[in-house]
Amino acid sequence: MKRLYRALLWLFPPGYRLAFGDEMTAVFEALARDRRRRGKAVYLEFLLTESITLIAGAVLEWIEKAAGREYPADVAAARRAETDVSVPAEIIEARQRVTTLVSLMTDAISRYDYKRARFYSLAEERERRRLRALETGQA
Amino acid sequence: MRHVSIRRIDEGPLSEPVLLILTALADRPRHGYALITEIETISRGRVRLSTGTLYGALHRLLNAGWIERFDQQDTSRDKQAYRLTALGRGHLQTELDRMQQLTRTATARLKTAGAEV
Repeated sequence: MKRLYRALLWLFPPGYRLAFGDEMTAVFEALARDRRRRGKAVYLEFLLTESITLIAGAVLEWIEKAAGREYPADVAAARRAETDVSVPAEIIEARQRVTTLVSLMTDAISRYDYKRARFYSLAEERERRRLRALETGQA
Repeated sequence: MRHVSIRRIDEGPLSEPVLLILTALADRPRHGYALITEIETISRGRVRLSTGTLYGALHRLLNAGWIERFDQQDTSRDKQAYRLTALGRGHLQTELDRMQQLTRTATARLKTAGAEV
């Protein structure tokens, strides 16, 4: 379940994920232990609610980012990650490409240009797959 | 399921998750898990915030400067904790005043209506 939760966190803007991702995962794990003790129905409801609100939250955070309302720590965390010398250059570039494509997609959606938005969305999906492969050393 | 709207936090009345978070932080700082359990207690089990909703609201509150984040020394490990700022305390007080005023008005009108029936 932790793996699935961390996978869903990839839907969030990079800065947000770096600023809150570990903390959110730790809280999720503690809550999961508690809800599991309360019975199967409570646990399943918890998992469903967590998944839906996480996806909805990711959409809201991209809108916040597009509106320029990022918490300074998000920006700092993203910048630290970009300048971290232990991260290979191709991973940094791939991350930047994903961020750019998401910005372009958000921009296209805001202009009701859904054809272009779909194009950027597919390109972002491809880039994200490539990034994941690079990060897990499969490329 | 609770949602946090995309409007700025200081535009209009506070949403219930935001009001509950500010209330949970009114007496002392708390970290994420403690906030969720405290909110469940305050609302008598009615509100169970998900992590997505909680951190979305915390993000907006941090941006607005109503709360601040700091490292809390824990016995086992360091945790990020949140506390109210003077600005956040002021906004919570304003919201409580507004709610009290509304409660007084509604109670008075109910009494008047009861007397007329």
